[in-house]
Amino acid sequence: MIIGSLRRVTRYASWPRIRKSLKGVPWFPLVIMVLFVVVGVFGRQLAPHDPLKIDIEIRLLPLFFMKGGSLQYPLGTDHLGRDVLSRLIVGSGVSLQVSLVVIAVAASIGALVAVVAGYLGGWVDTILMRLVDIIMSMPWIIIALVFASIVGAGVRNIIIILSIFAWPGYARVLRGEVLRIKQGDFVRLAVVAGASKARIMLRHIFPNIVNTLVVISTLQVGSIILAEAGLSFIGVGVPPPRPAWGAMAADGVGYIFTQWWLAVLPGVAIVLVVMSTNLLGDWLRVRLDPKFRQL
Amino acid sequence: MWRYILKRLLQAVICILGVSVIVFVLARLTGDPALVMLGPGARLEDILALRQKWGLDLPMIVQYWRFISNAVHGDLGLSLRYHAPVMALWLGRLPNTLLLAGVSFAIATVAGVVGGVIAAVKPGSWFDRLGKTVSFLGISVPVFLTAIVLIIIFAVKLHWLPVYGTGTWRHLIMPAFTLAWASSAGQLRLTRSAMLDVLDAEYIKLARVKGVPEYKVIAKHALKNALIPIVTMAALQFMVLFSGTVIIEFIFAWPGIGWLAVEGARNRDFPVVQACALMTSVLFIAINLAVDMLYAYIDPRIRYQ
Repeated sequence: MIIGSLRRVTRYASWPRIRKSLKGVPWFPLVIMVLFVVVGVFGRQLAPHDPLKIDIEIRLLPLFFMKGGSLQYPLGTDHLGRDVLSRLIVGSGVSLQVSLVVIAVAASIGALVAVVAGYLGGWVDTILMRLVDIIMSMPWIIIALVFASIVGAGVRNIIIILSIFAWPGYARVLRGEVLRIKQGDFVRLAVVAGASKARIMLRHIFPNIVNTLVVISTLQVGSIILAEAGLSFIGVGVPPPRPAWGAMAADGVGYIFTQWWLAVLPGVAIVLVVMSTNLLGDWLRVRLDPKFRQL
Repeated sequence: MWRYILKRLLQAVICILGVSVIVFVLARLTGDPALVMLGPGARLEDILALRQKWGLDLPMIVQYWRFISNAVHGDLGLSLRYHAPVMALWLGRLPNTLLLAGVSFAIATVAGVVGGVIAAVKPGSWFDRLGKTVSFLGISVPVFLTAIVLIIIFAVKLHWLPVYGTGTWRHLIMPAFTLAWASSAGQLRLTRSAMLDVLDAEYIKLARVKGVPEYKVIAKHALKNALIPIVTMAALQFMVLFSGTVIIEFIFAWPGIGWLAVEGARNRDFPVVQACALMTSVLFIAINLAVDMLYAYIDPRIRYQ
């Protein structure tokens, strides 16, 4: 449907049509998301200061409008005198990187498993779905701790562990779709026409689950970011000194009696991004699938 | 009925075996535990001695068999830090986590179900919109932010509640509320949509036409039938909530399983974390099994399949 609507847009593009299709677009979350991506990609260039530069002389500066604050460090400095604004900007890169890679990996594995299990059925289906059940019945955060206690913390390890736990969600939902789609007449026609199983899965089944895939992916960005932030918060995520939002909040916890904003600001950044992806996901879901409109 | 129970039991056993394989493989494939334990400067004979002591020189399948048979006997090894059996450590912390998770679960379920029913009875009302907003925030706000904000307001500024620790019911308020908020969102959404579906049914109209009082229609005729998806969701929520306790326990220094696991990971006390993972998975699977039994009890269609 996405591919179809793109084709329609390029064929029938006219101003009133474009205006009509833009109606109801959630602008606020969209702006936040664009900002998040731009800041995440160009963080190093956009940051006013070096996010890693330690300067004990100016440690724990307050926000710019408070007594003792300065516009040079609008959001103050942390316990090591590092600029909080720069760290927030550069820290968005970690969230962006982790969420994009995890979604790409999980969506690919999940879609592959769903199509193969759903279309072939039988023992392939049983084994794959049992594996999904097993992974989904494990406490992901404690398994992440197991992983961290053996190989240590690191961005790559977070990506691996979150991908392992993200794909079963895709597989379960998409398999349901595949089971429905494979009953369609166009699939039977393809079988009669002599198409191979691989071709049917790739050309006839897969394009029909792309919509759901996009919706789940958008809705998942938020939970992946929350998971990464949680791991960084408990100290098994992104290792210091690389700034990550969760780790920044954890560093700030020691100062909540005097500099409460150190712990709160990274949290607010997370809320803005997660809320935006959730709003966009909900909008996409309604937009792409009229069936969901009642929910 | 018995066939159903037997089938589910068998599935649970397979699940537990699967989890144990994954934990075992994770532990072995990521490096030689003897090397990790002794550090890069270790002497070769020390490494070999440790390997022999732990049976790391045996074939993988034999190692796995030892691991699983020890685990069945309740022996999951010794903590490197506390030099105590990890099983005893885990069991010692379990009541604290169960208390925290149980209280939050009760709050989340009551708030979610009651809120969802009210929202479904008057869709589009101010209460419905409020419920939507609150539950939407619940899934978008990281639990540590909720915790930090609560601590700043109620402990640092107002001095009403203790910042962290355990002992009295006042220590329980902030952690339980934080967890409950995050997990009530799903309950509320699901209860609302399940109730909306049921309230549309013919027998609800019939009950109203017959003159059954509205509160009875909602509580007896509608809620009872909307209960099946709600119970399934509640079980799922309990597990999400249980995972959430890890971060909450860490912030509020609540001495439960989550904190044990986080400390273990930070100190690279591998046997502790492994035991936490394995035992908590087994607990999850057991809960799932219990819920499925309950499910069969509520819904006769499953029982007589």
